[in-house]
Amino acid sequence: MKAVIDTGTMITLSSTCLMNVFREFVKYNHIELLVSSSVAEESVWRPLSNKRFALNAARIKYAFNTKIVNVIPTSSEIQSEQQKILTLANEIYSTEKGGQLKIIQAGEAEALAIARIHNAHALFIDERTTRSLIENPARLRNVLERRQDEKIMVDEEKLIEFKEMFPQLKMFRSVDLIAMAYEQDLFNHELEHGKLELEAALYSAKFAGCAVSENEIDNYIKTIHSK
Amino acid sequence: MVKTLAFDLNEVMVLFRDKRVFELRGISNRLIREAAMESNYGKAELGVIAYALHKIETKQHFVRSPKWGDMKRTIISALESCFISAKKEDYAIFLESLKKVVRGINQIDSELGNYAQTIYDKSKVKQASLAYSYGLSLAQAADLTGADKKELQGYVGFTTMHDEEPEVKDIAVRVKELFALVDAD
Repeated sequence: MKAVIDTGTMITLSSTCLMNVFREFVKYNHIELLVSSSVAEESVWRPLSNKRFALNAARIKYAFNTKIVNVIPTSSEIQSEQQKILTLANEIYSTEKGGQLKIIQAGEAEALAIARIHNAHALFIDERTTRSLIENPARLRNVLERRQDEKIMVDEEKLIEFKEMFPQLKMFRSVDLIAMAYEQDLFNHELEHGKLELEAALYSAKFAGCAVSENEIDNYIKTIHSK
Repeated sequence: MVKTLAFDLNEVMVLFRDKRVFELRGISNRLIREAAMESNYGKAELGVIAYALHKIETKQHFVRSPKWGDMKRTIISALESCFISAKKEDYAIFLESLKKVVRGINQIDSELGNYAQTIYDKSKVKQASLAYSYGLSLAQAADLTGADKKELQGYVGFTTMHDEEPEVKDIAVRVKELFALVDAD
C-alpha cells in the first residue's frame, strides 16, 4: 500500500522514541511510505543544525537513509497540483468580514498533491484541520464558526471539487499507527507488549501534539485485553 | 467593524505605556483572531508583540531593573514610528517598523531575561496555538505568527484543545480502516 506521511506525524514518532515501532510497522505491512522533499527539509535538514531538535531530526534522517520512508523530489507536476489544491482549499470557507479563510499551507497541500499523484490510499497526518477538510468539512465549518464567533460561508461547488480530488484517501494519525502496531504485536522492538506500554505510548503521542482526546484514548484502552 | 492597523497600534501603545497588562493580553487575542480570519500577517505580528509586552510587564525582574525605564521608552518610541507609518497606510514601512519593536523586545530579553528561549519566541508559539484553535492548520497557524511548527505542535499537545473537539472517527474505527487497507494489498 502506498501512503504519504506529514512532518507532524514523523516528529511525533521521533520525539516519543517510537521510531523502532514505526519502522517495524512499515516493514511488516509492506507500506510504501512517501514524504515530500519539503517535509524532509522541515523535519530533517533544517532542524539538524539546531541543537534542541537535532536528535529528533537525526532519527528521522535514519528512517530516510534506511528507506523506511522515501523522499519524493519536488517536480513541476507536484508544484502545479500543490498550487491547485492550495488555492481550492483556501477558497472553500469565508466570512463576511474577512473574506476567504486561508486555512491550510503549502506543506499540507504538497502532501495531498503527492498522495494524489502517487495514488496513495492513506495520509498520516496528526494535525486536525487538513484531516477534517478531507473527512468532515461540516465539522471543520462548525469549529471555525464556534471558535471565530462568525458566520462561516461554504462554497459548495469548490468543496465538491476538492472532495472529488481525494475519493479514496483515508486519514490516520500517529496514535492509530501505534494502536495498530500494538494489535499486530510489533511493540517488542522497543517496548513490552502490555496495556500499560500501549497507554503510555498513546498519551506520549497526544502530548507530542497528535490530535486525539483523553476520552478517545481511554475508550480504546478499555477495549484492549491485557496479556 | 474590523479596526484599522493604526487604531490597533495606538491601542497597544497606550495599554503598554499605562501598564494595562490584562487589556494588552485581550487586544493580542483579538488581533490574532482577526489575523486568522483575514490572513493578515501585520495584525498577527502586532498580536504577538502585544502578548510579549504583556508578559514583559508582568515579570518583576524586568520592570524592577534600573534599565527598565530607558528600555520601555525605546519600545514606545518604536511603536510611535510604527503608528505613523500605519496611519499613512504604508504597509511595507509598517512591517519594517514592527521589526524595530521586536528588536527592542529581544534586547530587553537578552539583557534582563533568564531563559534561552526568548519571550518573543514563546509569544509566537502561544499565539499560534490560539490561531490553531480558531481552525487554521498547524502549518498555517505557525506561518501566520512566525512560530516554529515543531514547537507549536509540542505546545498544542500540552493544551486541552484536542479534548474539546471530539474526532468523528475514533482510534478503533481508524485502526479497522487501516487493517482493511493493508489487507486489501
